[in-house]
Amino acid sequence: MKRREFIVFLGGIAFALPALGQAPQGVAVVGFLHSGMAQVNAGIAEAFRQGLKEIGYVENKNLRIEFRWADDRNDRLPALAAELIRRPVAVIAANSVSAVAARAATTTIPIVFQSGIDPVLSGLVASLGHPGGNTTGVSFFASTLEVKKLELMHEIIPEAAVIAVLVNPNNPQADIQVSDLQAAADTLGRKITILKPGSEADLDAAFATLAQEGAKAVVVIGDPFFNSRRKQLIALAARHAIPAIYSNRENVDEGGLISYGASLPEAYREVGIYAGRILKGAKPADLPVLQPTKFEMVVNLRTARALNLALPSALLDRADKVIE
Amino acid sequence: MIERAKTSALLSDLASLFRFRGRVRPKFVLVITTVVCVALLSTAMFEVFFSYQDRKAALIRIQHEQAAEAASEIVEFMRNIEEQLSWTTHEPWTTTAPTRQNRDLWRMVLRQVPAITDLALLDASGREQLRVSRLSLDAIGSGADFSKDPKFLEAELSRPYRSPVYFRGGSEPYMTMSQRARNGSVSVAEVNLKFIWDIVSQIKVGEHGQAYVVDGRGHLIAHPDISLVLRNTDLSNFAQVEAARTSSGEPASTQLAEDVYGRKVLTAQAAIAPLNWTMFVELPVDEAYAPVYSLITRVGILLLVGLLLAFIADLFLVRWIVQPLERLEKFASTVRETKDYTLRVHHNSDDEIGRLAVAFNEMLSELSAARERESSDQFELARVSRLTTMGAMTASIAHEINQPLAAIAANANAGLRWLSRSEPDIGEVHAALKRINNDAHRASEVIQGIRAIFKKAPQHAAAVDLNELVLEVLGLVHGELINYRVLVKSDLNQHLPRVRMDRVQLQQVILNLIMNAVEAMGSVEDDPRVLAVTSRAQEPNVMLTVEDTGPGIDPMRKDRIFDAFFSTKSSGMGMGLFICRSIVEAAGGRLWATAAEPHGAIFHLTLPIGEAGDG
Repeated sequence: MKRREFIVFLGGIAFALPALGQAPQGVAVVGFLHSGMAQVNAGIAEAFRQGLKEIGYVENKNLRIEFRWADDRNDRLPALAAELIRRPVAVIAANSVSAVAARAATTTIPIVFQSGIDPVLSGLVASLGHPGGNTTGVSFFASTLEVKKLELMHEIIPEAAVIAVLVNPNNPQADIQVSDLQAAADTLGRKITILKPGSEADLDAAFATLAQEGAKAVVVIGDPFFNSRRKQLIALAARHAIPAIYSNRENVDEGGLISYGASLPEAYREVGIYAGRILKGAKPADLPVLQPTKFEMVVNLRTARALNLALPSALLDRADKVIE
Repeated sequence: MIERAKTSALLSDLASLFRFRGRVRPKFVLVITTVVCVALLSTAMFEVFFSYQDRKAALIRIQHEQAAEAASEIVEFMRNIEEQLSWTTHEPWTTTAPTRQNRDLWRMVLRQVPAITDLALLDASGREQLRVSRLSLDAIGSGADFSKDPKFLEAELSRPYRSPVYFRGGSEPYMTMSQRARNGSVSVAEVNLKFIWDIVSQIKVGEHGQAYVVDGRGHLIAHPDISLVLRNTDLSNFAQVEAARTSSGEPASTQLAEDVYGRKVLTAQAAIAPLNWTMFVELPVDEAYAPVYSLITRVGILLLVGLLLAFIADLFLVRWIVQPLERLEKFASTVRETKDYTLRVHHNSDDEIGRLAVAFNEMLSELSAARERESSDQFELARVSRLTTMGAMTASIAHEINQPLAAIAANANAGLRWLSRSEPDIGEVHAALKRINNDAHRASEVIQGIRAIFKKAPQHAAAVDLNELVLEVLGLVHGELINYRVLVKSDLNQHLPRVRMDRVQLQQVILNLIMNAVEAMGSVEDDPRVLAVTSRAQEPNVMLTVEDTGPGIDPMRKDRIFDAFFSTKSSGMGMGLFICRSIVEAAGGRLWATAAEPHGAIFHLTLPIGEAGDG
């Protein structure tokens, strides 16, 4: 009897030894739903992969990502979301409008969003601290930061000039954005004109219009559609010789004048990490909505020279990065 | 099939190892196992206990150092913010009517300190004159009234004000810090505490441990898992947090606690004194004691090996001690059953068991030699005794036979005379012949009786009627009795059970006793010479007593009369009583003597009753 008890005792110890460093098993399938186009969003897709990798999911090893791009046709999003749900995927990562579409299609599959619009207002989460449902992600302060972008442009160009604002009419919170900006413009004592291009063709027309209306600068609202049309916007701004401010530094890297905002790839990296944590068993309801803490101002001096624009030295002093 | 048979044979062999016959093996197994286990377990427990204690102490010390270091980093971080803030309490930042230039100066502070989200200048009356922000519009001269706000009221020249941690939008942990300038204005910074995350997430605590910061109310303000912070997690109920809060700066005694994930952790903390925060560094117990666990595993393996060795030792014990002992035991019982003392045990080894076997064999040799000697001695004694008895007997027989022969001769003579008369008296002749016949018969009986004694009957036990033997012997010594003028009184129990022994030997014993008594009374002249023979049943024995009225036994010699070569008679060899006693005792009986009243000796003979119905 003693012998037996002893063996049981040893066995107990052996089983009590903790199994450390468990690797995720099998291949997890994650959906990635985006309203834009694949070609121009390679950077954020890569950042998303990076985030997943950091938490232990490597594509083609223990992870498959199902990418679905709506190519700026938001009406396609419900069908694409339904497609992902049918696969099914374990988690759906989505940008703001896509997340709304995905949320409408499922209340069970976890959704991790990167949202430029207010996720509480858009009904994605109950509150930032306690999302509550099957949705969580990264919020981008977008509406708040548009005001700061207007303030920067206000600082750059002469006081009398009109500033045009490009708003995507398809953005569910376009109206809020417009009213916030209008209020800010009133505070600043600056006249602004709101343009609402909703398609590729509209963009060309919008720039023609703002030139006609004598707008001396343009604030491009942070929006997936405008992100997709980055090259077109930069080219239009250059052709019309009009200073433009964007949300993403990528625009400035590619010839835009100035940007202010948090890093979009960084946000997608966080989305990747959250998706990975959910794959490992975390509940989206328990994962608070993340918000960026670092806001960068990037200035392209070459573009400024091309525009024959003298940037205030106080602004250049504050810039986090100046492209010579 | 053969394979299966082999296997089953092997299995039964193995099974036999676990059979516990007798007592030695379980005792031995118990002792060896106990010794092995106690020795190993005690050292193991010592080692585990001390390595547990040492490791715990070392880990707590390291964690405490980590906590202290992280705490000082956080203090440094906050001090840096405060320093930046204190710059703004000097010229050219302090101004009652801020301009764009002033605003640009303030904006540079934001550029310097990423953790400050908003920065404001309140004038001496508590009204906001300037505000710069990362998220909202900057403002000059908004005039917002903060005169009742603690960030204005509690800001002092020498000591900055720090608000409790609050959560912006219910999510981001923030803290308001303010400092008063000489001119009475107050600089106010809203600090995003998520930046502390950079500090705590860089602290490596083992593989799965972590560092985190809790504010004075017990709320989590920095944790590597930032989502816990954004959820505004209240840790005030956790033992270690409670202990740290109540101990106010002293290193708390809590070392084992549960963390926010419900894991058991080793915890150490350091106070972040100026902020009333506490830095915790925690390592899961599972990970902390992994070396101790592996030590336990090693000890467990050692224990198993020890037990295995004990088991092997047990096998050798069986082979070397138990099995030889069992063989010896079996041999001993064989000897006991067969009474064959020529058997020898075979065990060739020079150990104790071997010596025991040798001693056993030697003992058997001695025993068989002794038996041999004994039986030959007895035989010799019996022969001598028979010869001596024969001497006495010869006289008796001569006397016995002489008497009838003399009577026959006399009667024949008388008969002849009666015939040779001129007128033969046939009646007298007839009477004489009849007497001759009687005497001849008597002589014949005497001869027959003697023949019964000397008949070379093999010694074999048989059921014998003691009374019959007594009468036979009395008949045998009839002449002697007459010769010695002895009166015989016999009191023989008619229902006496038979005894089981050799008839001739018993007859010899009785003859000896009676002849001794008769001879003893030879010296008695005045008193009657009485020989009393009594038989009685005394379960489980029968007893025969032979009593004489002779001079009795000298009490001094009483104990010696049964010794060999002891005789009170000048002509005796001193073998009679010795032989008698040998014979009686060999048959399981007893023979002893007591004194009779008023004089004389009584010899008592007891013999066990033989089996009933045995012929």
